[in-house]
Amino acid sequence: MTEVATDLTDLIHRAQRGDTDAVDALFETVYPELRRMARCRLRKHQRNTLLDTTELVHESYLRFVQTGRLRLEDRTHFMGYAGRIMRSVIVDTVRERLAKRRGGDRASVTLDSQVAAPGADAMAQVLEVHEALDGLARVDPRLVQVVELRYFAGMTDAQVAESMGIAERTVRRDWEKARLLLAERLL
Amino acid sequence: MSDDSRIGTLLDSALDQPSERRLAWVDGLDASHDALKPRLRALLSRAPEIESRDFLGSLPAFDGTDADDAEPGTSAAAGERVGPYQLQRPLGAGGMGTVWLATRADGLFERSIALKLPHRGMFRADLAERMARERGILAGLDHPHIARLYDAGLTADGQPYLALEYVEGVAIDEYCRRRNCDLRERLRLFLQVADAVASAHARLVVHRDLKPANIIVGKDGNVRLLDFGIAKLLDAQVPGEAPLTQLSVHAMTPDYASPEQILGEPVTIASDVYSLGVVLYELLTGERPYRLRRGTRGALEDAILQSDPRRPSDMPTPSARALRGDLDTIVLKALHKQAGERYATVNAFADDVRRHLEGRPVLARPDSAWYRASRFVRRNRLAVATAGIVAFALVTAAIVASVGLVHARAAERRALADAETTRQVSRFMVDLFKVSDPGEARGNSITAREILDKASSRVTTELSTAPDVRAALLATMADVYSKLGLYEDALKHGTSALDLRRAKSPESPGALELATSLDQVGTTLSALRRGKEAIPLHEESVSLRRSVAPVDPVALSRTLLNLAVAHYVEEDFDGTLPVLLEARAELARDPRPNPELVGEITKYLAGIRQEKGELAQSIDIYREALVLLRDGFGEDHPIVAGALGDLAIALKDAGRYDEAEAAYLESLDIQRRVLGPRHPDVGNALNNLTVMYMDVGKFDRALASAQEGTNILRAALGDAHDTTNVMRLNLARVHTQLGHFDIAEAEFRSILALRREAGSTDNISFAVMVDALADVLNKQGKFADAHRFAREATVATEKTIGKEHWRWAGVNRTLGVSLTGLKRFAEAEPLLLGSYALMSEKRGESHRQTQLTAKRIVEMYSGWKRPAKAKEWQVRAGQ
Repeated sequence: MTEVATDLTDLIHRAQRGDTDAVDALFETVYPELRRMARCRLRKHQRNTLLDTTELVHESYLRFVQTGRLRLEDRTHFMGYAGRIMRSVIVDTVRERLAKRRGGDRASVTLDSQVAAPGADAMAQVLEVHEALDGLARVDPRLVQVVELRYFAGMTDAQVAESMGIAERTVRRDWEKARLLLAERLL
Repeated sequence: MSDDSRIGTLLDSALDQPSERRLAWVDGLDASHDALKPRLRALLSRAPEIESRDFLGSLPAFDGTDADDAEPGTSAAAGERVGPYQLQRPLGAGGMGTVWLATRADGLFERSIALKLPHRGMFRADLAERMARERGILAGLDHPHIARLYDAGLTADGQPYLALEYVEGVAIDEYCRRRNCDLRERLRLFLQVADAVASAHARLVVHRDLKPANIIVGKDGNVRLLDFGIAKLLDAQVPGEAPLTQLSVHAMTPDYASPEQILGEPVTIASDVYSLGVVLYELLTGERPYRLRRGTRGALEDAILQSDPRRPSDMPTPSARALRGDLDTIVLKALHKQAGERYATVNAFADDVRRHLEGRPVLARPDSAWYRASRFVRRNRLAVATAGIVAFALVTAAIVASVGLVHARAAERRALADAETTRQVSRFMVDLFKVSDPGEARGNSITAREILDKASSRVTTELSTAPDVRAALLATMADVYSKLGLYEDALKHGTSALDLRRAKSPESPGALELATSLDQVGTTLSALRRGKEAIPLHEESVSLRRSVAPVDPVALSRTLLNLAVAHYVEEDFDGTLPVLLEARAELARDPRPNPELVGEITKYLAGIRQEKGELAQSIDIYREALVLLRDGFGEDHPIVAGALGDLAIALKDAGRYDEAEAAYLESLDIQRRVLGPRHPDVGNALNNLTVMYMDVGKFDRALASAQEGTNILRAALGDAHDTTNVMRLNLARVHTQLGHFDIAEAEFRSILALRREAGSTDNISFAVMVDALADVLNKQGKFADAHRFAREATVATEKTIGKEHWRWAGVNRTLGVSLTGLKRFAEAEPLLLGSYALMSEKRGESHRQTQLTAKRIVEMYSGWKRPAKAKEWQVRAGQ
């Protein structure tokens, strides 16, 4: 795909006005960047990697800013969407890895990846969280965004509060509610 | 408002309450919330747990290793430091990680080590602790055949490493292949492996991943085991969580995995016993017990869980014969699907292998005098099979039968002094095993002959005071030599036994012992085609047997049959017939039916007719003999198969090819079932079948059976054996027929060289070979050479079977053809005409060979420019 220097600021503004095409376009621009960075990070370390998604999101933000596609002051809005996109990146990565372990998309499964037992359950849990978020949206759509930023994008309560433009205390309350509801499904 | 939304709102309010009051708050809600109260209580009750375990506190760790992310060997580079080590060069990469040649970076030690760098994705967080814990245990494994673990740990950035003794060498299977190790050497190496594993088991360390790739033979020829206990070390199991054995077995090649490993059950020393069994299987046969050509991993696992492995001796390996018996039993015991049915320890496993090597009875078998005696032979078999000389199944049968004979004589006829004699015989047999103790005979390939020769000297030196025992042993060894085809030695020992028995007082019960010795020496002489010398011995035996009252009609009949056979090998068929009839008459006096002996007698009666060319009668009598033999021995017996084969030859000679083919195939079927597909008798039958297919012009079938037969016989009997020679001869003849003249000529010359070297030229099969070489030379137009060999063939034929046999016609035809080629028509004419006359008399005018002779006559007359005569003969040639 040729690099089209989409103006993210424009997309964010349009998205905030309720333009769903802009949300999709934003997604399509940011997702590949985050995905590439995540893959690169995992490959580089080749171990039981704790993927620092906050850093990834932040780095991607800086990169977009450096290439002039995002204005510095749009940081907050960008981060708000970043949680959603990071969720997709993580879920896709996990799916891919689990598929490979089952021999999914390639004929010859290397034994190495079959051995990769650690985290199998935990990785499966990522998918369960992802799927349970639909149920969470029925309780309160805001809870989903909190989970995306807190869990998938790895932000602190303060960062989440800033990204969402809500009080930190509300974030804590939402996070507690979300976890209780998810625990109902997952534990 | 939906239930979900109401739950959200209610949760908000509940969480506003102090945590200890939340459940009370829920209880206090009015009745309109009754339906939601249980769910609310359940949700709130989890709050403490969520806090304490930091539920969803962070994303799980990812295993970064991935098919496209981590190529083995790319994660590190030469010169790089890993912990205290400096990488020098990569030694290899495998399922678990990469291995580097490395040295201490701090110069603490000079020596190079093998540094194993497992892929990082394989571990749980507690790897460092576990490594520290296991390192102590594994480093304590101090055994000459185990590669040392020097160090294990994690680098600062989390790369696990294992520093192992660096072993230069090749994997054990590759080592054996390259050096073409014999069975004994393979077993010796295996015992080193087993000792190493047993030593580790004593320290409660299970290997869990035994396979040839982990068993290295170093430059000193000794074994080193790699990766002891590493599989466990790397199998990240955390207390309280499901064992990961199931997952880790998938990292291993399943070829060496035990059923319980496949099933993910706990791994114990029994699993190592199993894997060692697979390794031994592969060392012995070159193949793994369940290797599937195009199978999937799942199919292989199914096979390991469900199928019975093929017996090692059923595998197509040159040493298959040596594997039959003990080694089959040992390997299959180790490979038992139920761990409890395997050897309880590796030591027990190794001890049985050792027992086998030393010729002692293995524990996987019941112990008995007979069994111990058969061990004597089996050990010979091992040694000789290695040298590839003789057919050993025969020997086993011989020695068991001989010892059985000793028993029988002692028990029934009291010919031997008492049971003590029998005991001495048995003990001697057992002691014999020590003759070829691997320790005594290191580096030597002992042949059966050497063992028997040593035994022979011991009989005279150690047992000189017990002539009865000595005679019994000499007789037994004579039988073994005889069955090995070493008739001269058989004769020597048999004669010694005979002399000892003659020296005793001639009256009974020694008379029967003497008769037995006479029969033994006589049958050996017959086997040497020295029937003339055998005849008086059997005659003496007959009169001895008649002199002991009451006369044993069965024994007498058997002796008479021996006497008849002595006449038979002298081709004195007129002398044979009355003796056979007498044997039959004597047998009739025995009230019990003796279909076996009657059957054998009848078979010789048929043979006489066959030799005389009375093929139709011969065939009928063979069929009669077969009825008796089947009655006496049962349907599936080698003797029945043999008689069927003789019948088939008669049918073939009579031109009744369809019946002949059926009889051959039936015979082969029995032999394959009873004797196994690689028994020399099977090869022999394939030879005869080849001859028939050639007679009927089915050369493709002939080639197939000739090639199979040749392979069997070369493996079973060796190149020097007469039967192998004949089979190779026929293979060469098939090649001749198919026009592969150069292959055929080379083969003929090679076989003839062997025969001349062995001095085995004074027999009909030599004549046949020379004739065949002359024939193929004729076909290539090398008439002068052909003429020389054809002459030799006629001389040899006349000397061995005379001028009345159809073969005489055959050699004269060959000679005539070479003379035709040399344009010496006047000399060729009488030879070819005489050949035709004899051939049509013996085999009939419509026989293919007879017609072929007519064709040669046509060619002769055509070359001679006598078209009228040529035309006349064309009719007879079927043209």
